Amino acid sequence: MNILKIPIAGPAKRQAPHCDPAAFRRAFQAGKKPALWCSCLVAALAATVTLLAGCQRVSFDPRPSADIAPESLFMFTAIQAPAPPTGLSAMRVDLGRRLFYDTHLSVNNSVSCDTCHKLKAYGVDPGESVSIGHDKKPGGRNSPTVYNAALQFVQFWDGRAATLAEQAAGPMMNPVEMGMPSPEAVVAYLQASPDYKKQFQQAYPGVKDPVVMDNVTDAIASFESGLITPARWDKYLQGNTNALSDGEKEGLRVFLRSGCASCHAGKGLGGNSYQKLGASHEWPDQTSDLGRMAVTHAPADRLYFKVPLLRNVTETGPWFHDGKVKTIDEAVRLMGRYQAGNRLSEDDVHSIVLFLGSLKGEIPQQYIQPPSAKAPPARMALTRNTSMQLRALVDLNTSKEGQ
Amino acid sequence: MRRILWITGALLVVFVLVMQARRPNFDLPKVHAAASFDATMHPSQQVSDTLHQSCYNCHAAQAKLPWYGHVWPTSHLLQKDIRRARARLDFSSWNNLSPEMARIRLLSACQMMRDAKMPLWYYRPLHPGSTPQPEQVDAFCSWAQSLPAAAQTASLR
Repeated sequence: MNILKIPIAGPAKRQAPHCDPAAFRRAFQAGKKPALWCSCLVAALAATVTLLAGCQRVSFDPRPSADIAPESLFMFTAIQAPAPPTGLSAMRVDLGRRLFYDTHLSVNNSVSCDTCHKLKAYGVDPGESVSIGHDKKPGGRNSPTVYNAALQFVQFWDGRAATLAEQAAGPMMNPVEMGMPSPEAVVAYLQASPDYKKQFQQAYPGVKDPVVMDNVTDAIASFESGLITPARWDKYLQGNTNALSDGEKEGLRVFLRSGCASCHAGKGLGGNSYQKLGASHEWPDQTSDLGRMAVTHAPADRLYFKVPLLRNVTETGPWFHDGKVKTIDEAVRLMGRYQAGNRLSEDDVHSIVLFLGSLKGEIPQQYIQPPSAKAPPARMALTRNTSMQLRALVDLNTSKEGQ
Repeated sequence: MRRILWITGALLVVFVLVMQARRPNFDLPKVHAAASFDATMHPSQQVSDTLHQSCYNCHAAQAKLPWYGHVWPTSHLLQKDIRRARARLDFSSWNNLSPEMARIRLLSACQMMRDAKMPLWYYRPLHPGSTPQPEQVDAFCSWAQSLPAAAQTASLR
């Protein structure tokens, strides 16, 4: 279409001479400066390019791939349930499981790992925006699920722990969470238990004193490494195209088209990169939580968070680092707008949520079975930073050793 | 008729001039060389050159903005494009990616270039020479595919 022939305004018979390309050419040849024509032409071109470029609603990809054939989904990897642990691994897993459920690892014997990461509730504290610590004070962030945490490249929302073992020590010493005054206090409690001592010796043989903090966190990490939940999605990736319903397949198409897979890819559909909250559009809350910048103190890391896993995401609400988003639909809508830069339609949101449902795996009920209650050693409740009480505890344990 | 067009044009010019007061926020922080793609992944010179030539103007904080990039409405479009581009792939903060995600992003970039979806259609005519040649794309894709699934990138974190 020749845009010079587009009627601009006015009656047709007056318009013809102005919009006649031949007249335009003649004006140029005559050395006249057809400023009006030039202005119109440039404005029309600019408007066209602006409209076309600005209206790319869904993604940068002008021809988004809707190919959801499993063999085309190179950005995802299926996972499998781990084999039951044997030998030393099994002993460490058993020990880690016991520690995970033990409320005596908190300063007033009220909180265990399972309090904030309820294994029967997909590893989160359902309904709580942020978890409540030993003295009923709220924590700083929403508790992420421990299921599939082993698939992540770092732990915590801000990635301040490189491994599961490093992460395990964090909440125990956190003054708001479990509030133990020091690693020594944890070790002192465990050493006071002949049963725990025996279990540590079996799990870490050949060591003179196996009841040390490194082994405590290693055992918990060993247990958490087995909290893997394959889903129907994995069967689909492995070639079983009937594993997803038609609605879920449509959701997968929308998920890909909307650019969600830019961050939510890999084994865990997330958990393998940091991303700025508000990467495409400025996030409304710029000050409450600086994200990774609080760890690195680098301005470039302001509002950067670890991208969360999407496995079981429909079950792990409330959502986001502050737990302020109460529905999965709203979470998808916000991510579309602020991360992917798309205003998703309600149909699109619904489709994506359907797809996310296919990422829900089975809770390994047998693996998470709490150990039978064993009499814990007598231990007074500690007050954080009360060194006298800690000394008393160590003295108590020492006297028991001598008996 | 001519008078109406002149008035409309004049109003348009005034509007555009007023809109210049809206300064764009390209969100281009200072780049730490050690965090960059080149320092982390050590690609061949050819691969590095291809990416710098075809991708860095939008997919890195070292974007070289043309003069019209600071003029509204182009500035508004560029801001939107660059922010969305860096949200998907940012060569200047490569240390934000695990080895797994680094490989996924590079393979996705390879596919986009192979399908001639990148650079974008409206970027190419404005930046002659930005479109990679087939042999450049092949070299990049071969390199990306050769990365092990769990390539060990230097972790700075």
